[in-house]
Amino acid sequence: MPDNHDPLSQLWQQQKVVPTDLLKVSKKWRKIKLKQRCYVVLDILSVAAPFALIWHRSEKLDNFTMTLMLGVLSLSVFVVAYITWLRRFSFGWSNASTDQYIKQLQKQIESNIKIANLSLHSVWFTALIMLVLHGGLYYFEVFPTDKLIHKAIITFAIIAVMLPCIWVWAFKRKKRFSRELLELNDLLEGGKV
Amino acid sequence: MSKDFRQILQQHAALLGRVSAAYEANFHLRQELLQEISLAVWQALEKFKGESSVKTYVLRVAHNKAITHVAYHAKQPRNDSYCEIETPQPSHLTSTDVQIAQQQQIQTMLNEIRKMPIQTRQVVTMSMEGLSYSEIADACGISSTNAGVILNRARKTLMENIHHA
Repeated sequence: MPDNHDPLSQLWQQQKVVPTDLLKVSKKWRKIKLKQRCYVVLDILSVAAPFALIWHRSEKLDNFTMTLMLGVLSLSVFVVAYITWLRRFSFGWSNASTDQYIKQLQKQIESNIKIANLSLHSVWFTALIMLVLHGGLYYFEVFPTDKLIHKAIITFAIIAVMLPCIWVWAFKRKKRFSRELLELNDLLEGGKV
Repeated sequence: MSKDFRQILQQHAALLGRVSAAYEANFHLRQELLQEISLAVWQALEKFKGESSVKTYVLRVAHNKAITHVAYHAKQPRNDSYCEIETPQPSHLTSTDVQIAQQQQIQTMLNEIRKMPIQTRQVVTMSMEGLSYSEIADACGISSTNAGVILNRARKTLMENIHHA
C-alpha cells in the first residue's frame, strides 16, 4: 500500500505548482463549443449546399453536367459518412482506463492518417473530374468553343492554385500524424519529454 | 462553468499541477498542458458516475490527457516564444540551503520520472498521490499485482537516483 509518510511521496507533494487559471479554462471551453457547432454546420452545408444549388439551377444545367455533379456529390456523401465513421474514436474516451485510452488514441491517430490520405487523393481526383467535365462539355457541345475555353482557363487557373495548397496541407498533416503515432509508440516503450 | 465542477477543479489544482510536471519539463508548455488537463477533467466530470473516488477519476482523466499532449509535443519544433526554462529557479536570497537542496531533489525526481515509460510514470505518480494498488490498477487497466511490481521497481530506481544526485 502507498504510504503517506513515505519520503518519496512527501517530496512529491512538496512540489511548487502554479494554479490553473479557471477563467481561461472557462473561456477556452466556450470557444471549443462554438468551434464544434461551426464544424457541424459546415459539415451539413458542405453536403446540403451543392445539392440545393443543383436543384435550384436544374433547368439551366445540361444533362451531362447534371449527371456528373450528382455522381460526384453522391460519392462525397459516402466519403463524408466514412470520415465521420473514422472520427468515432475521437470522442468520449477521456475517462477510460489508460490502457483502453491508449488503444483508442492509437486508432484515432491511424484514422487521422487515413483521412489525410483521402485528402491527398482528392487532389488528383478533383483535377481528373475537372478534365472529364470540360472534355464532356466540349464533346456534347454544351458551350460555344470560345466560351468553353474561357471557362476552362478560369477553372484550371483556380485549381492550379488551390490543389497544390490542399496537397501540401494534407501531406503535412499525414506526416504530423505519422510522427505522432511513432512518438506515442516510443513513449509506451520508454520515457521521453 | 458549473459551480461544483469549479470547486472540484480548485480542490485538485495542486494535484493536476503535479501530473503536468510529470509529463512536461518546459515551464510554458507545462502551463499549457495544465490548462488542457483542467479542461478535459471538467468535461469528463459531466460523465462521473461515482464508481471511484473523485480523486481517482480526476487523476485518470489527467494522465490520459497528458499522454495525448506528450505524443503531440515530443518532437514538435518549439516556437521561439517558448523559452527552454524548466522551472523558474527559487530565489537563492530567500531560500535556505535545505530548501534549495529539497528543490534539487524534486528536480532530480521529476527528471527521472519523465524518463520512465508511460505506464510506470502513471503508476508511480498515482502512488505518490496516495492511491491504493487496486485504484492504480483500475485507472491504468492492469492487475494489482502488476501495479505492485511496476511500483516497487520504479521506487527503487527513483530512490537510488535521488540519493546519487
